[in-house]
Amino acid sequence: MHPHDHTTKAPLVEMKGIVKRFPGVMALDGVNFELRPGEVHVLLGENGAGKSTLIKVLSGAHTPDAGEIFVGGRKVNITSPQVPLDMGLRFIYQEINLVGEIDIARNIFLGCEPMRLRTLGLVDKSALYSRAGEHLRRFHIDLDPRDIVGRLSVTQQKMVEIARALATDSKVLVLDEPTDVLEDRSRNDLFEMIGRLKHDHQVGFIYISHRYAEVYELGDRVTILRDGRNAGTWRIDDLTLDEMIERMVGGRVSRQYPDMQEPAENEALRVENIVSGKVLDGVNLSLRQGEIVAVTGLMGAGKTELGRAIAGVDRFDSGTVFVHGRKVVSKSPAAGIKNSIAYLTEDRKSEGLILEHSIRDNYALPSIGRLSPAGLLKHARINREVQEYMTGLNIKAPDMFTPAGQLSGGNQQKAVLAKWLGADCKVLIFDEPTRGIDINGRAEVYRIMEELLERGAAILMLTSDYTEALAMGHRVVVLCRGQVAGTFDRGSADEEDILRLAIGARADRRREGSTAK
Amino acid sequence: MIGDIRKQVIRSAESLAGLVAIVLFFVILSPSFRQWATLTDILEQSMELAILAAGTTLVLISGGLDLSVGSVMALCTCIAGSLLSGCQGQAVMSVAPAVALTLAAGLGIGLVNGITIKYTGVPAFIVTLGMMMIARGAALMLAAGRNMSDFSDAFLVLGGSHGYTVPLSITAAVIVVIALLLAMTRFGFNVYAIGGNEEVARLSGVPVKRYAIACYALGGLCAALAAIVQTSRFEFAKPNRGESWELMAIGAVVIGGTSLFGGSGGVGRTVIGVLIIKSLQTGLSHMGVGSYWQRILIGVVIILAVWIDRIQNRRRKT
Amino acid sequence: MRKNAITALASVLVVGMLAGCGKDPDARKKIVFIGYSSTNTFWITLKNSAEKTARKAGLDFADMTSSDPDVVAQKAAVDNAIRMGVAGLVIGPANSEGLGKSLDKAKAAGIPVVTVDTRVKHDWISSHVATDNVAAAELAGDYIVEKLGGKGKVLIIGGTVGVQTADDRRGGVFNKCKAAGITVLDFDANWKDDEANRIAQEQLAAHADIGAIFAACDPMILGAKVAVKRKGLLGKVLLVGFDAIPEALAAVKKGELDATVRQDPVRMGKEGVELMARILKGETDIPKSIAIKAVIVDKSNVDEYIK
Repeated sequence: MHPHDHTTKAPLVEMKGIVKRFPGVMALDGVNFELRPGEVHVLLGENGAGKSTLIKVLSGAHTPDAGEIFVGGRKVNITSPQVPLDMGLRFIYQEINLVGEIDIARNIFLGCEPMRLRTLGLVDKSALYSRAGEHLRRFHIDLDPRDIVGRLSVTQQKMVEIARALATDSKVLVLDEPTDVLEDRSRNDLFEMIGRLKHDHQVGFIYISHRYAEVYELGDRVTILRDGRNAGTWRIDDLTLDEMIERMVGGRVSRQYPDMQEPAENEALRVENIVSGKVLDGVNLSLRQGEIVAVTGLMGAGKTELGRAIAGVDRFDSGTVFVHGRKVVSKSPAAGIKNSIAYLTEDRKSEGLILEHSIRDNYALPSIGRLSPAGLLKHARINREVQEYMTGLNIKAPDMFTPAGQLSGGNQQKAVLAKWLGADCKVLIFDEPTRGIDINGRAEVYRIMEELLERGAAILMLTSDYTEALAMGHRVVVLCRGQVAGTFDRGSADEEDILRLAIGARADRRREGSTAK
Repeated sequence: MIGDIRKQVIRSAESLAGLVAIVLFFVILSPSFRQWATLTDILEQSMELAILAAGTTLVLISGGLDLSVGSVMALCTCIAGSLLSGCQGQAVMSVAPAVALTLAAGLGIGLVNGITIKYTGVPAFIVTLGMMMIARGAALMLAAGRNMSDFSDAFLVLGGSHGYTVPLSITAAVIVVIALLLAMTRFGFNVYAIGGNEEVARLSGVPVKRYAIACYALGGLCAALAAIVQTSRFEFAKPNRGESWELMAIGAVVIGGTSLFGGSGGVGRTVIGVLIIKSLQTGLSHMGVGSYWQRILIGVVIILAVWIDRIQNRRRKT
Repeated sequence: MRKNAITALASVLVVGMLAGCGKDPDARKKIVFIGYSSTNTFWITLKNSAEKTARKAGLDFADMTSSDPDVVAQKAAVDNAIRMGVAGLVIGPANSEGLGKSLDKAKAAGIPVVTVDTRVKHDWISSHVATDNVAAAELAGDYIVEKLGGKGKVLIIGGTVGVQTADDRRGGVFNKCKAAGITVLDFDANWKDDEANRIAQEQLAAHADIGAIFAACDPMILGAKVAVKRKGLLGKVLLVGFDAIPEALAAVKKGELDATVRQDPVRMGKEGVELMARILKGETDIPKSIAIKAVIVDKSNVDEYIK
């Protein structure tokens, strides 16, 4: 699709110099973005590059620390999610945002139902259903407006959401990975719809996707974000796929990673043919003592599910797990811990720590059996151990009785590490260990991981940060759609290789010159 | 939550201050309140509620909720009453086995509650609400037309026929046991963990279902014990006892400072909560205020107590 | 006992099934009895007497009493009975006000209604059989005044406010005391013995000169008795209850309770059904109400009434 020349028309949306900080992380560092009428503008970037944050700033979910936003040429102050809605911006996220208990028509007109007598608040039901029917027909959606949303398939629900977004004459539609759940037929319907709206109504689209084929099919321009900054904006036709990928990952500042010892010979963990529902499709993996294997891939590739399955947090359908050569069956997290496997969750706030409880109480939890012989708590011993770890790991807090919720992100992660260190497991599965932590915090986490290896542990590190995977892993395993797409030894690959495998593209590529880091 | 003695003492001190304030209030305003006998009166009135509330504390800390304990009390009253009553001069069985059976009944109902909640996914509110009605109905059926009085001396001792040391010791024992359980044992530690965040506890290896069910069972046991003391004290059993006591118990727990959402709190504070409620009731009675007004005021106190607690929490966080 | 509960349950089930069945051709000779509570000793006695009288009169008798005093359940029972096409209703209302519409329906269907123990506010009710609660309470009041000899306060522990029976009983004693110039402490305990125990304990502590305690039902006075006993005042405070349940009679015999008021549930049941039988035969000179006399039971005559 070739865009018309829109340079004379005012942009629908303009974002200038957007800055957004979270504790310890600079999510957006002066990002610019511009959407013209009648264009599909693709937003690209790795996980953590800042795409979602930028969209959330536009939708009013986050308030930027600096920067300006213009809609239709006028400067606006987005103080609440209602503001962009009122201005005709519509957002469609990956999660479905419909009310399952009511029917399609009511969902479409939620909050703005056609009324019969305004003062009495009576809904004009015939108008409701006929107008809803019109909308569905207009977008070629073959559903009855009286159908209950909860009973529709995910694909159908997505179509309804899109119909709803377009039902109220919106000017800007933001789509975040919309085709993840759509079948081919519906995807074509969607693209057709987008095309029509573009041409006939000059609607502007901000489109986030990892499916590069779509990006080429649909997009007019593309903006690439990297580490919270603009890597550039181009017309789609002007970039090849390789160039796109390069700009997403290239030119990185090297971070501080510790030197790594060689792992031992004996095998700490072996995983054979793990199958779990639709998510894991026969994963094989092995991990030696003193080794870090980084498992990486796109979101949804199955990293977390793999970790949870091995640790016994979730059940899986088939496959075997061996710890130090012995076959183990972990039907619950407690069993996993007994089998010497520790799983450190992705979300440390809601699954890693009891935020209202103290550092001390959190520490003792997985080790409570050891710390309470005959069922009686040895308070002095617990306090001593906690003190040692707080010093050893440099956990900054007023004292060990500080509630975990009051710690900074980095210190919280250290508290989680301390807890599992105390549990003395031989295999540790880290799920996104440095997410949301700044450079210094990350360095400390890496140091601790190194110490763990020296003590004889083995680490499986699940991460969506390819640089981290390459730097920290003795080996890197790339998962794609629930299977191992490839394995690299340390030093034999770079971020582009990983990304390629992660998206399911060709494994090899032309190497022209050096892709310097 | 545990092991930090300082914080515990401060929190308890706050509730204690509330109690002292209330008592002083009545001492100043009501001359008849000033006797020593009043204090023993309050203690006597508090015993059964304290036992019940101790069990409720355990359930609430574990993140659960049991609305049936008042009705379980009534059912256990009738069970004990029918086993021990002297129709034709002979009770069905002697004191020890009758008491044991009653306690087992309370424990059993608690187990049923816990197992149903944890294995069917039906919310605790609903399950225990249903049990509340089932137990009450069973109590009424058991009591229908039955004469449940005329107990042996051995049983009456439990309620204080030979002085209050016996029932007070029973009450104190329950409180002390549960307090020690919570502060000093693995069991207690894990109960706090489950209440704090059940998923984190599960991921850290705590068998959450087992512990939660155990807490419900212990709560039922306390209800049975409270029923035994009360039945003995009144010297006869009636199926309409314990009405709204589950709510009073929860009120006492909340006034004492334990969170409704679990993960924190303690039995000592609950006892203070019980004493606050009973002191209020007694003091208002001495001043001639009727029971309807008393209910209203206790309701106000419950809301105030939680409100103040929230304000303090917010201040602590900043 | 348990049999009655099962009978009640079965009756409700049967009625439920019949409700869909329209008029029962044999219903002409059936009367329905809706008591106050199926687990209350007093009411069980009353119902048994009513049933016996009904059979003697050649009438079919159905008991639709619920286990708890519940106006809503009673209304449902009345509606069911009307739909069954019964010949007459004998009711012991749980509440003086709540049965309104359902009883109006009975009137419209031409079904005569006899009330027992508690009045309702309908003039067209064929007849009312009750202990005159006021007169009975006045008996108690007189007893108290006499025994006190003018000294001391009286603590009245009432039932649930708004229930006619409670108001009548409290009123009777209250008026007699007031007339004699005695100070009255007036509290309600909703028919609950643990409430009564608490109130008694608190009031005894607050007032050193309480000479007598009257409670509107026996469980309450027994609850108060515990408080009196624990304070070592047994024998020094006059204790008077109401209803003469077996536990109370035993207590009177033992000397722990001074007196209670005995209603005559046997006579009430008998009179109520006999009236209904006469109405169904077509007699028109039916008394508007029959007041059954109550009796004070104390140590002097308790042996007559203990079974």
